[in-house]
Amino acid sequence: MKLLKGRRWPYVALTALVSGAVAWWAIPHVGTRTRVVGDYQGNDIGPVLPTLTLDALVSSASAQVMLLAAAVAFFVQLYSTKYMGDDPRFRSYALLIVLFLLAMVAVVAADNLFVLLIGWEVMGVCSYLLIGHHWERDDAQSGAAKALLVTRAADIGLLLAILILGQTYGTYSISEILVASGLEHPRNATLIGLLLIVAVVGKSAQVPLQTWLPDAMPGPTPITALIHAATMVAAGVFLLARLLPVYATSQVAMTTLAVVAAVTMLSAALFALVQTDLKRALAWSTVSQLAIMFAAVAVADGRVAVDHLMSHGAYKALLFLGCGVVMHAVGSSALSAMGGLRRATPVAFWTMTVGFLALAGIPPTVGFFTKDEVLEAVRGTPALFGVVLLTSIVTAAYSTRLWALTFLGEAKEKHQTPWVMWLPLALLALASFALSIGKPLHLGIGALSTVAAVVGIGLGWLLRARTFESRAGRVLAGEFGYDRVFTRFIPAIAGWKARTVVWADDNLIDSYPRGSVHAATGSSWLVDRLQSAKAQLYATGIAVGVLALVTYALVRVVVS
Amino acid sequence: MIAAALLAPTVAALVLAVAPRAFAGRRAAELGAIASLVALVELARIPVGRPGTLWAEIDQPWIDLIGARFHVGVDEVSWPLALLTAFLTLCCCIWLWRRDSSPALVALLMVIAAASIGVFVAQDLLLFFIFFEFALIPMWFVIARWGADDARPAATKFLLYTVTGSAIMLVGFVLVAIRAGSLQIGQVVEHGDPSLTGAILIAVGLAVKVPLVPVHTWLPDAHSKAPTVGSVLLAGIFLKLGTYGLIRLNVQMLPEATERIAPWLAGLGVLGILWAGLACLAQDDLKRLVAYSSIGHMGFVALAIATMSQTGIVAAVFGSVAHGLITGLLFFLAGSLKERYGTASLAALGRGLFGRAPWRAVALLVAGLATIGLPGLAGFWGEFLTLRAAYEPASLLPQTFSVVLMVIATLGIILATAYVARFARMLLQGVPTRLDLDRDIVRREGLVTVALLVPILVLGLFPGLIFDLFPPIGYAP
Amino acid sequence: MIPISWDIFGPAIVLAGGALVALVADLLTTKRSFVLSWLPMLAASVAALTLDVWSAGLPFGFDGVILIGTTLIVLASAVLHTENAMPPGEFQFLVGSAAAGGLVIVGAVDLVTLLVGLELLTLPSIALVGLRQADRRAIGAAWTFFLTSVVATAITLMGIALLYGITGSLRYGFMGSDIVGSAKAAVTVGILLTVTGFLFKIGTVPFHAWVPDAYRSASPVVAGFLASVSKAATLGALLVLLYLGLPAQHASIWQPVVAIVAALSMTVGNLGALRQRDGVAVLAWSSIAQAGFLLAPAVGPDFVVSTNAAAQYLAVYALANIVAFVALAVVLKVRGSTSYEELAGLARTDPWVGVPLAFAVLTLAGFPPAVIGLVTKYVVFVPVVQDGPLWLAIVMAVNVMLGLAYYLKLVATLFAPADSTPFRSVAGSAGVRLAVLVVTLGALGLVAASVWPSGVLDHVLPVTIDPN
Repeated sequence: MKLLKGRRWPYVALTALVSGAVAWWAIPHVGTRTRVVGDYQGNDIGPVLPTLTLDALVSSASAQVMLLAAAVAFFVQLYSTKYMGDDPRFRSYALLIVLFLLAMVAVVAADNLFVLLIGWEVMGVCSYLLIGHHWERDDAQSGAAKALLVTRAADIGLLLAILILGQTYGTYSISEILVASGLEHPRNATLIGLLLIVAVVGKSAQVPLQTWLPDAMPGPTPITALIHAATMVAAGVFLLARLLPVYATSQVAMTTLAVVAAVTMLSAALFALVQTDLKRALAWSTVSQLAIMFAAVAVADGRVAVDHLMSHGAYKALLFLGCGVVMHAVGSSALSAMGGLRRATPVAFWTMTVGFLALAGIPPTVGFFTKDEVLEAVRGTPALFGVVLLTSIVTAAYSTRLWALTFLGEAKEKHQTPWVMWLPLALLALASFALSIGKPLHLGIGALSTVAAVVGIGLGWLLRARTFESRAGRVLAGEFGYDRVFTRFIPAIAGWKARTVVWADDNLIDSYPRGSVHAATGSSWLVDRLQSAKAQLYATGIAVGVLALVTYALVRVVVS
Repeated sequence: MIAAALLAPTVAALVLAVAPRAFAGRRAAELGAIASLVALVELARIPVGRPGTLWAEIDQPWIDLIGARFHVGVDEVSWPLALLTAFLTLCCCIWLWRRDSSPALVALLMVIAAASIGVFVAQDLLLFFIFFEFALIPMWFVIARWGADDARPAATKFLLYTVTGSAIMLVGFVLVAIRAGSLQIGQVVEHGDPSLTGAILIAVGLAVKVPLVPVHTWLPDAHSKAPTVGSVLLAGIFLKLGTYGLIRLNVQMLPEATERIAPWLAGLGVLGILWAGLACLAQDDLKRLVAYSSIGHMGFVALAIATMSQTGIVAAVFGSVAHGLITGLLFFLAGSLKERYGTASLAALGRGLFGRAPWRAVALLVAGLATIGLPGLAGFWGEFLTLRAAYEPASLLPQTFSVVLMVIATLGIILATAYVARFARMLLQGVPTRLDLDRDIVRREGLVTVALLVPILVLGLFPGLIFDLFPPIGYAP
Repeated sequence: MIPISWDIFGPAIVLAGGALVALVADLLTTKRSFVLSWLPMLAASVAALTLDVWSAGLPFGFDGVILIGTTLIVLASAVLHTENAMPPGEFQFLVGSAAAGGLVIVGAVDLVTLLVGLELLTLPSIALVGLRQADRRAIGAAWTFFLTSVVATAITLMGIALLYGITGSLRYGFMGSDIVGSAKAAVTVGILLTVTGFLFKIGTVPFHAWVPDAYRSASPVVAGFLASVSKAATLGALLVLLYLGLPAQHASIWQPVVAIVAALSMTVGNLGALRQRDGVAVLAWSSIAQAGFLLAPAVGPDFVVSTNAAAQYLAVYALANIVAFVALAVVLKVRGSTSYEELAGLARTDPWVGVPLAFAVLTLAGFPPAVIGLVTKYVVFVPVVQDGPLWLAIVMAVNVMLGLAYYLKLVATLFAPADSTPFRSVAGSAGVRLAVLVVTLGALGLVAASVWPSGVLDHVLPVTIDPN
C-alpha cells in the first residue's frame, strides 16, 4: 500500500495488463461471422433458478466493442497520470477505471444474462462514483446522484426484460434465447422490446431520460471520455443490437425506438448548438450521436449501429481528451474562456480538428462512412431519414461553431502538453482515419450527406459569434426546461409524499397504540379511583353487578 | 447437533449470569464468541438432506398431556436462517470485544441467539411458541438498558406490539392444534386444512413481527434506540422469525387457508415497500433510516411468500438471509457512528465522511449499494426471485393483481436507490466537516465489516449455495 | 374420580385439630411464643398432606393444591415470628380452620355443606386480614371485607333457598333436571345468585373490590394464603357445583355469564395493576386478573377438560403467588416496605429473594424462561378456543399483553442497576431464613416444572378419565 501511494505507473501497468488481456481475447473474434447455433428448443415452464456462469458469447461486434473499451481505458489511464497527477484520490480513481473495464467486458461478452446485468449495474455504480469523484463539489454530488437514480430507474427495465426473457424462453442464456427465438415467431416481443428500450433509454441518455448525461460533466474529463462518451453510454446500443432478433418482429417496439431516436438526435443536436460550455456541448453531441445509432437499430440493422458506435467511440474519446487538454490550458471548460488556442495547444488543435471533422461527417474520416451507413440503412423510412439528415446539418454546424470558438481568435500563450496526454490524442486521431479502411461507400448518400455537412459548416461559421438571446434561442439554451421534471417536480412530489408518510406514521397509524395506551392509563386511573375502601360502595357494586348479570342471563333465557 | 447448537449459548448465558465477575469486558465477549462459534459449527455440520425432509431430527416426548413434543429439526427453509442467527451473534460478540462490555449484555445476547435458533428448528407448535417468546424479554432488557437514554418507551412499545401479536398467534395455534388434533407441524399438514380463522390469527401475529404496514411503527423506534448489537439482532434475526413463521406455519402448514389471505399479505407487503421507501427519504437519523429500509425489504419477502410458489419460498429465504447480512452490516456501521459521535443524525454527523474516515465511508457505501439490490451482491437475488415469483404466482393471487404488485414493487428499488444516494450525499460526500471524534474504523469494527461483506459477496456471486438446497424448479435443459 | 367424603374430610379434620392445638398451646403459655403454635400447625399440615396423598393418591386436585399451599404458608409464616403485633396462636388457628373450610367445600356434595364450608373458609380469612393488632388500616380492610362478604353470602343464601324452593333438593345432581316454562327463569336467578358468593371469594369483577384493600393491608403471608389456598378452594368448589351439581343443560345459563365475568376480571384486574408501584398492590390486582384466566376454562362444556385446565393453571399460579408473596413478606420484614423503590435492584443485591420473585412474576405473566407459566396459559386457552366464544380468546390474548406491561415493570425494577442501599439482612433470624427457604424451594419447583412441565401437569388432574 505504502509503495503504491503517490505512484501512478503501477495503475497504468495494471490497466495495460487488463486491456492487453481483453484485446488478446477479442482480436481473434474481430470480423468473424458468428452464427449462434444449437439445438435448444425453448420451453414454457420457466427456467431453473439462476446461476452465474462465465460462458462467453463473443461476436465480432462484441470483440470490436471490447477492443474499443480496452484501448480507450488504457489511453485514459495513461492520460490521467498527468491530468489527474496531483489528485489525492488517484488510487480509487484508477482502480475504478479497471473495475469499469471489467464490467464493460462482462456486458459485451457474457452469455449469461445475469453476468450481463452485473456488468451493466457495476458500470452504473462506477459512473456514479467517478462523476462524484470531486465529492466536495456540489455539482458533482448532484450530477452523480442524478446519474445513479435515472440509470437505475431505467435498469429496472433490463431487470424485468431478463425476467420475462427467462419466463418466455425458459433460459437465461443469450445464445439459447437467440436460438429459440430463431425457431419460431418470438413471443412477448413487444413487452421485451419495450422493457429493453426503457433500459437503454436510461443508460444511453435518450429522451425522456436524457438530462443526466450533460449533468455528469463535473466528473473528471478523462472519465467523461471513457464512460460518458465512448463506452458505457454506448453499451445500450450494443445490447439492443445483440438482442435484436428477440424483439425485431414487434412493430410497436421498433416504432417507439425510432421515435425516441428521432426526437433525441435532433433536440440534442440543437442543444449542443447553443451551449456556452465546451464539455456540455460535447455531452449533448454524444446524446445526439447515440440516437443516430438507435435509429439504425430501429430499422433492424445492428451491424451499422455498432459500426457507428465504434467510430463515435474513437472520435468522441478524442474530442473529450482534447477538451481536457484545452481545459488544462485555460482552467475552465467555458467557451467564453477559450479562443485562440490554436497555437497554445497545437496538438489539441490538430487532433481535435480531426475529431470535429469526423463528428461533422467529412470524408475521409470514419464519421463520414459510418453516418453514411446509417443513412443508407434508414433510407426505407423517409421520416427517419429526413431527421438524420437534418441532424447531420446541425451536427456539422455545432462542430464548426465549437471548433471556431475554441481555437480561433486572439492567440493565447503556449501551453505544454506532456507526451502521456498527446500520445492518446494522436493515436485516436489516427484511428479516426484508420477505421475508415474497408468501409463501404454509398455514392449517392455520401454526396448528399457531404453536401449537408458543408451546409452545416457554413451555418456553423455564421453562427459562431452569435449569442442566443432570441426567444427561441433562450428556450433552446434552457433545453426546453425539461430538466425541471427531475430537479423540481419529482423531488418535490417524492419529498411531499415522504413527509406525508412520516406524518401518517406518527399521527395516524401510531395514534391507535397511543390511544390504547391513553385508554388503558385512563381506565386504570378510573379503576383505582373506584377503589375507595368504602364498604357501602363495594356492597352497592356487588348488588349492581348481580343485578346486571342476572338480567343478562334472564334476557338470554327469555330470548332463546 | 441441533441440541448442541441450542445448548452452547444457553450454557454461556448461565455461566455469565452466575459468575459475571469472572467474565468482565473482553472475557465475556470471548465466551460469547466461543459459544456462538460452537453453535455455528454445530449447525454447519448438519448434513444437507433431501428438500422437504427434516435433517438432524430429534423427536422426544415432552408434555404428553397436551401432546407437545420436543421435536426439532431443520430443512432447506430453516437451516440457512439458523446459520445466519449463529453467525450474526458471533459478529455481535466480536463487536463487543472491548473493555467496557457488560457480561449481562452478552448473556442476554446468548439467550436471544438460543431462542431464535430454537424458533427456526422447532417442529412443534408449542415449542415454537415458547422459543418465539423466549427472546422477547431479553431483547427488552437489551434495548432498555443498553440503548439510548430514552430507549425504554421504545423497548416497551416493541415488546407490547410483539406480545399482542404473539398472543393472538397463540390463539391461532390452539385453534389449529384442536382442529388437527396435533401440535406437530408435520402432522397438521397431513391433516389437510383445519382452520381459516387459525391461519388468519397466526398471520396477524406474525405480521407484527415481520412487520407489515400498518403494524410496523414499533420497528423504527426500537431499532433506532437499541444499542448496536440490539439493532443488529432485531433486524437480522427477529424480523426473520416473522417471515420464517409465515413460510413454515402459513404457507407450508396451512396452505389452503393461507391462499385465501395471500392477496392481503401481498398487498400489504408491497404497500410496505413503498411506504418504507418514502419514509426513508425523510429520515434524518441514520439508524431510523436503516430501520425503515428493513420494512421495505421485508415487504419484498412478504410478497414472495404470498405468491406461495416454490420460487417465492426460495426468494423469501434468500431475501431473509441477505437482508440479515446487509442490514446487519448497516446497523453495525450506523451503530459505530452513534457510539462514536453520540448521535446518528445525518445533520449532526456532518458531511464528507469520505475525507474524514475513508474506510468507514467506503464500508457504508458498499453496504448501501448492497441494500439497493445491486446485482452481484446478496441483496439482488431475493428481489429478483420475488419479482419472478410475483410474475407467475402459485397462490390464488390473480396474476394481473400480482403483476401490478410486481411493477409497484420495482418502484421500491428506485426509492431505495434514492435514499441511499441521499444519505451518501449528506454523509459521505461534501466538504468534510472535521470533528474531534473523527476516527476511522478500528480493528474489531473492521473485522466485523469484512466478516459480513464476505458472505454478502459470496452469496451474490454464488446464489446456488442456497438455491441448491431447494428442489429444482423449472426446466433444466 | 371426584374426591368426596373421608378422603377429603380426613385431612380437614387433621387440619382443624392442628389449628385447635396451636390455639390452645398459645393460650396455655403466658409468654408469647411463636414456635409453640407454629410447630403443631406445621405438623398438622404435613400430616394432612400425607394423609391426603396416602388416601386419595396421586394425581392430586384442588385438595392437593390447598394442602401444599397451606403447608408452605405455615412454613413461611415463620417470617412473622418477631412481629409482636401478630398473635401467633390466633394466626395459626385461623389459617388452619380456613384451610379446613377450603377442603370441605371442594369435597361438598350438597349445598348446605357447601355453605358451611364457605363460611368456615371466609370468616377466618376476614379475621386473618384484620389480625395485626392496632393496625387501623388492616382493621378497616377487614371490616370492609366482612361487610361485603356478608352481602355476597346473603345473596348466595338467597340463591340456594331459591334453588331448594324450586327443586326440593339440596343434593348435587338432583336439582331440577326437568324444569320447564317460567320456572327456568327462577332457576336462572337461583343459579346466578348462588354463584355470586363464589365469584366474590375468587375475587372476580364486579365482586373484586375487597381484594386490593385486603391484600395490601394484611401481611403478605396472609395475602399469599388468600391468593393461593382460599382461591383454590373456592374455584374448585365452584367448578364442581357448576358442572356436577347442576344439570348439564343448565350450562347455557351460566356459561355466558362466566365468560363475561372472566373477561371483565382479567381486563379490570390488569388495568388496575398498571398504575401500582408497590409489589403487594401489583400482585393483588394481578390476582384479580388471574381469577379471570382461572375461570375462563369453565366456558367449555366438558367437565374433565375444563376442570383439569383450571386446576393445572391454578396449581402453577398458586405456587407462583406463594413464592411472590412470601418473598415480599421477607422484603417487608427487612426493608419495611414493598414499594418499587425498595424492590429496585433486589435481584442483584439479594439474589435468593429477588431472582425467585422475578421468576414467580414471569410465571404469572406466562413468559419464558418461566415456561410452565406459558404452558399453563396454553392449557387454559384450549377449552376456550375449542368451545368458548372466540372473542373471549382474543380478550385473553390482549390481556396477556396487558399483564406483561406491569409484570415486566416489576421484573425490570428487580433487575435495575444496583444503586439503592444494599439489602439489610437480619442477622441470625431463623424465621426469615425459613421464609427464604420457602421462596427458594418454591422457585426451584417452578424452574423444575419449566424444564419438565409434565412433572407438574401429569400430577394435577382432579378428574382422571378411566381408560376403560
